[in-house]
Amino acid sequence: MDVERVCRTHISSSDDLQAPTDLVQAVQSGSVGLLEVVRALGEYITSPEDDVRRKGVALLTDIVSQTPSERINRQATQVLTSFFTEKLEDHPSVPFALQALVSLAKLPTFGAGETIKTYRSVVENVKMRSHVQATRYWVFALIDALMAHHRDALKGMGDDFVASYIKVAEGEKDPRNLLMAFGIMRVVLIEFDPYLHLEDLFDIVFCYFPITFRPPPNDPYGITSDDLKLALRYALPLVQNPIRASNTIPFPRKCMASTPRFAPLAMPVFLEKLAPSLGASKRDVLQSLTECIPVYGQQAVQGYASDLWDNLKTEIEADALETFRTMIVTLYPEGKENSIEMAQEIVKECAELLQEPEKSKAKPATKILSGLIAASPSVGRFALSQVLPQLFRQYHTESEIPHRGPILSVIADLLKALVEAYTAQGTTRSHAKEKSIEMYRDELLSLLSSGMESPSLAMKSAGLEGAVNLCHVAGFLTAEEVAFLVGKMNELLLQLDFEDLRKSALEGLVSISKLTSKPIEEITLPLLFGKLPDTAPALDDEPKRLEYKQILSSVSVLCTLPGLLEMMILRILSRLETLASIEDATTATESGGSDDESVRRECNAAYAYSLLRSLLSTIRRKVQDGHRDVAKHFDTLVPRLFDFFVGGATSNASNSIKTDVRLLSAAASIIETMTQTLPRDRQIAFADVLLQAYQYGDFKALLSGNTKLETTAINPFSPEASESTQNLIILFSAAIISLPAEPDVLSVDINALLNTLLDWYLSGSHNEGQKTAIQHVLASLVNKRASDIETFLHRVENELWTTRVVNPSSSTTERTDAIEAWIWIARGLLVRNHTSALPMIVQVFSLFDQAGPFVERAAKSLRILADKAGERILAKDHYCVVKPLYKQKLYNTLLPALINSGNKQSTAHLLALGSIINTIPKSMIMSELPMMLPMIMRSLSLPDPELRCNMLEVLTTILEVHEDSVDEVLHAQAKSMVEKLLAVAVPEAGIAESPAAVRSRAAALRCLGIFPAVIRYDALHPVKARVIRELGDAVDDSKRVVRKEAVDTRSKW
Amino acid sequence: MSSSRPLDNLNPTIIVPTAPTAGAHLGKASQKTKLERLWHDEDEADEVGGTFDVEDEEREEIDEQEVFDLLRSITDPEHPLTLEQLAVVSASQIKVSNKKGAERVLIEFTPTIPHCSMATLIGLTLRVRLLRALPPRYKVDIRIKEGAHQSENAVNKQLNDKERVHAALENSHLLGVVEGCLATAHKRGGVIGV
Repeated sequence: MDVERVCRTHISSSDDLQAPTDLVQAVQSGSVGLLEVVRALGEYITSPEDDVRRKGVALLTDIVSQTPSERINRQATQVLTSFFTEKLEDHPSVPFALQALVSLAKLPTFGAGETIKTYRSVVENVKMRSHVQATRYWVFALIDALMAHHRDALKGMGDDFVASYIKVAEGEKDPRNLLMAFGIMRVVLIEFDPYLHLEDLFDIVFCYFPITFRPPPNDPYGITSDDLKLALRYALPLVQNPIRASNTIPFPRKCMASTPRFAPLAMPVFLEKLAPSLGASKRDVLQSLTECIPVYGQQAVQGYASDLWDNLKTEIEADALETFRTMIVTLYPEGKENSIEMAQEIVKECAELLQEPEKSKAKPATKILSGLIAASPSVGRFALSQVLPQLFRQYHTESEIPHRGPILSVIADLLKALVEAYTAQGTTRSHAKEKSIEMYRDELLSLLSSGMESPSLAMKSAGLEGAVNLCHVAGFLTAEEVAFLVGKMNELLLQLDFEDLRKSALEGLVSISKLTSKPIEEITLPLLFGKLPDTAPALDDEPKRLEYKQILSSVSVLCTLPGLLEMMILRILSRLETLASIEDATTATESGGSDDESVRRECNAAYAYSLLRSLLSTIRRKVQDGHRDVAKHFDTLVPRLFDFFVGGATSNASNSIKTDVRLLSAAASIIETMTQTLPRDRQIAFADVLLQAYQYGDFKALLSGNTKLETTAINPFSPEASESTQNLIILFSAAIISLPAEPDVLSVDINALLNTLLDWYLSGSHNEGQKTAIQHVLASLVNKRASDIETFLHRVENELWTTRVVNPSSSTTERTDAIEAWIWIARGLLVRNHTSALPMIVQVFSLFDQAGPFVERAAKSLRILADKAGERILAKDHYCVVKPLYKQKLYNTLLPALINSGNKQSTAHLLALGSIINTIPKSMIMSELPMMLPMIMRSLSLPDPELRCNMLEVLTTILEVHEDSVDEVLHAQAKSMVEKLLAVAVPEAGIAESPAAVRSRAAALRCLGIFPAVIRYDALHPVKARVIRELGDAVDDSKRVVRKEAVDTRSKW
Repeated sequence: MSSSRPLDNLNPTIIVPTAPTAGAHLGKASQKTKLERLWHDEDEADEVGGTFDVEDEEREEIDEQEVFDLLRSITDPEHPLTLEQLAVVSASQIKVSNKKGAERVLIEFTPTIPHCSMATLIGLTLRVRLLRALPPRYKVDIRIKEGAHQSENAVNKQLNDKERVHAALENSHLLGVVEGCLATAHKRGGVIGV
C-alpha cells in the first residue's frame, strides 16, 4: 500500500475527519506500521495551514485510537506521546491530541514518564476556559484515564498535582464534565494527601452543593439531577479501604463524603443549607448528610450534633429520620462507653411531647425514640428506661379512656423498633444481651392485655399490635405468657363488628405461629372450631352467618400453616356430616314442600358450601406456597368426600344437601387440587379405582369403606340414572382433569372413553354443572392425548359439527350445547398448537353470516376461549401440553378476520369480539387500534351488559397504558368515546337491572374518569360541560358502587 | 398550609380512624338478596377480581355512612391530616333525610379549637365536596357544632348563603386551597400518608 498517496488524497480531497478505512485496516493488520503513517503525514501535521494541520492530526488520532494495543510498541508510544503533547500547544489540534492521548494512556507501553509529561503538558498548555465543552470533556477523560492506569505516577507529583488539578477543575459548569470531575476529585481526596489545598478543594466541591441542575427537555445525554447529586455525594465506605477504591473503575463519582477532613468545613455548610431549604433540595441535603456523617466520624460530628438535632426535629420524616439515625449511630458506636448527654436531651424532649400522647406531635416523638432504639443499644436502653415508666404512669392516671389508646400505640411502636433492631440482618443485638425491657415485663403484659380487653377500638388495636410485637421479641416471653396473649387475641378474632381488627388479629396470630405454632394449635383453633354452629343460622340471622363465615376464613388462613391441615380436614368433614345428618333427620320428620323448609335447606347448603370452600382455599393456598404435606392427606379427605356425595346420590332422600350441585362443584374443586399433588404411583392407582367406579359402577374402592351403600351398582353414565347420580360425573371430571392421561395411568381405550363422554353429553338434557364437567374433561383429554385420538376428532368433525351445529332442524339448545363442546375441544387442542385447532375456531366464524338466536348464542360461546376455568384446567400443573405463544398464533388469524368482517356491522361479530376481547394480547389490540376502536365503541351499544363490561375493561386498559403509538387515534376519537361512555354510564330509564348492568355502569364511569389524565384538554373541552352535567345524574344512581365511581369521576373532570 | 403565619393549632389531637364496619349495610335486604348473599364467598370474589355486593333491584338510598365516606378523607387546611383524624367530621354528626321532595343533609362539624380561623374554609370545602358529589335534589346544610366556635353564627350564615359561597369560589386563590384539601377526598377512609 502506498501510504503517502492514501494520506495525500485524503487530506487534499476529503472533508472527512475520519481516517480512510483501508488505511485503518492496514494498520490493524500490521501491514503498515504506525510510524510509517506518521512519516507519511509528516508534512501535513506540521503544515502552517490550520486546516491542513487539523486534518492531518485528526487522521492520525483516528488511526491511533483504532489500532489494537499490541501493534503499538514502546518506541511508537513514546514518539506519538511526545508528538501529541506538543500538539497541545496548537489550539486547533487540541481536541484531537487529547483524544489520541486518552487512547495512548491506556496502553501498557505508556510509562510513568509519559504520564507526568502528558499531565504537565495538559495543565500548562490547555487553557480550560478557552475551549468548548467537548474539548474540556476530553481533558477530564484524559486525566481520568491517567488516574485509572498510572495513579502512582500522579501521586508522585504530590501537591504539584493537586494544585494544578484544582486549576483545571475550577469553574467547570457542564454536567457531563462535572460527572467526570467529581469522580477524579474523589480519588484525589481519598488517596492523595491534599491537606495543603484542603480549602481550595473544599471550595470547588461544595460550591456545587446543593445541586439545583435540571436537565433540559429532550436532553440527549440523559444526565439527571440525581446522577449529579449522587456523584457529589458518596456511598461506599472507601475511606478505610483505599485498596478497594483503586480497583473500582469507573471511580465512584461521589465526592463530598470522601474525606473526614472536610468535616469542619462542611458541617457548617450543611447546617446553613439545611435550615431554609425545602422539598427536593432539602432531601438532597439530608441524604448527603446521611452519607457524610459516618465518614466524618464521631469526633467531627460531635460538635455539631445539637445544632443538627435542632434542625432535624422540626420535621422528622423519612430522610430526616434516616439522617438522625445515622447521627446517633455515629455518635454512639457500639461497644464504647460514651457520655450520652446529647441523647439525654433528646429523650427528655420526646418524653415531654409524650405527655400528650394523643396529640399530633407525639408521632414524630415516637419516631425519634424508635430511631434511638434502632441506632444504639446503650441509648436505646436509656430511652426505654425513661419513657416506658412515664407511659405506664400516664396510663394509670389517665381518666379518659380515649387517651389510653394512643399510649398503648406509642408502646407498640417502641416495641416494634426493638423487634426490628433485634431482627435486622446481620445484627448482633438481642434481648439476651440487652435485656432493656426485662424489668417492665409485668407492666407490659398487663397493659397490653387490658388494652385488648377494653371496649374501645383504638385500645384494642393498639394493644393487639403491642402484644404481637412483644411476642416477637425473641427470648423474652415464656410459653405461658405467649399463650396468655394469644388467648386475648383469639377474642379479637371473634369480634364481628370490627373487620379490620379481626384481620390484624389474624395476621398477628399467623406471625406468632411462625415463632411457635403450639398456642395456635392448642388454643386458637379448638376455640374457633368450637364456635362453629351445628346447623346454619336462620336466613334472617345475618350476623350469625357473618360470624361463621369469618370464623371459617380465619380457620382457613391459620390452617395453611404447616402441620395443621389434618386437623382442619377432620374437623370440617365431621361438621359437614353432622350438618347433613341433622338436616336429613329434620327433613324426614317434616311433611315437606313448605317454603320455610326449602329456605332452611338453602341456608344449610350454603353453610356446607362455606365449609367446603374454606377447606379448598386452605389447600389451594398450601399448594401455591409449595407445601409438600398436601398429598399425604389425600386418603383422609378424598374417599370421605366421595362417601358423602355418593351416599347422597344413592339414598332415597332426594332433597338432601348431599345432592346439591353447588356443593358437588366445591368438592370437585377440592378433589381436583388434591389429585394434582399425588405422586405418580398414587395417580396410577387412583385413576384405576376411578375408572373402575365410573365404568363398571363399582364404587367400593373409591370410598373409605366405612359407609354402607344402599345399592351396589351405581352407573352415573347410564341413561336411566337419576339426576343426583348423574351429578357424580362432576367429581369424576374433576379427578380426570388433574390426572396425567398417558396410557400407563389412564389404562383405557382413549377414543372409546371420549366417545362415551360425548355420547352422554349429547344425549338428552343435563344440568349446567354436568355439562361444564363434561366440557372440561373433553378439553383436557384431547389436549393430553391429541396424537392418539384421530378417530375421535374425525367423529367430532362429522357428527358434532355436521349433524348438530349446522343442523337447522335441531333446537337452539341442542345446537348451543354442540358448539360449546366444539369450542372447548378446539381450545384443548389450541393450547398445544394442534393443527386442527385454528380451522375449528375459524369454522365457528363461518356461522356469523347468518342471523337468528342460535348465531348469537354461538358468538357468545366464544367466551369459552376467554374462560378462566379453562386457564386453570389446561395448564402444565394439570399435566396438559401447553405451548408458548398459542394465543398470539390464534389472534394473528382471528383478529384480521374480525376487523374485516366488522365492517359488515354484523351483531354476531361484535358479540364474538366482546366475548374474546379480554384474552387478546394487549399489544395486538394496540397495533390494530385504529381499526378496533370503532368496533369497540359500536359494541358498547349492545344490549348485553356482560359484553359491555368486557369492552370497557379493555378500553380502560388501553387508556391507562396509553402508548404513544395510539395517542393520535385516542385524541381523534376522544369526543365520541366520551359520548358513548356517558350513554352507558347514565342509561335511559326502564332498562332491566342486573348485577352486570350495575357493573357496566360503574366500569363506564371509571373509564370516563381516566380521560382527563391522558387526553389533552383541548380535545375534551367541547364535552366537558356535558360530562359534568350528566354525571350529576350518575351521582344519583340507585346503586352505591355506581355513585362512588360517579363522584370520583366527576371530581376528576 | 399556604403561608408562613403561625398555625392556629400547633399540636392537634389525632383520633384513630375507624373503618366502616363489615355489617354496616346488613339487615336492610329483601329475602331474595339474603338468599343470594348466602352463597357469597370472599375467596371466590377475589378470584374474579372483586364482585359487587349488589344483587337486587332495590334502590340503595344515600345514608349517613355514605355521606361521611365522601367527607372523611378531606385534608385539613393546616395539617397533613384528614378531617376524620382530627375529629372535625364524624358519622354521628351527619343527618340524612330521604323523604321524597324534601331530601336533606345536615352536616355539623367541630373545629379543633374555638378560635380556629380555618372554620369557614373547612366549611366551604365540605360545601364544595357535597355540591359535586351529591345529587342536586338534596338540600345541604352545613353548620358548626353548637358551642364549638367563637363566631359560630357568622360562619354558619356565610356557609349557607348561596351567593357568598359562589362569590368565594370565584376567588381563584381560595378555590385553589379548597381543591388542595379535596385532592385526598376520594380515599374515603383508606390509607393516607400522615
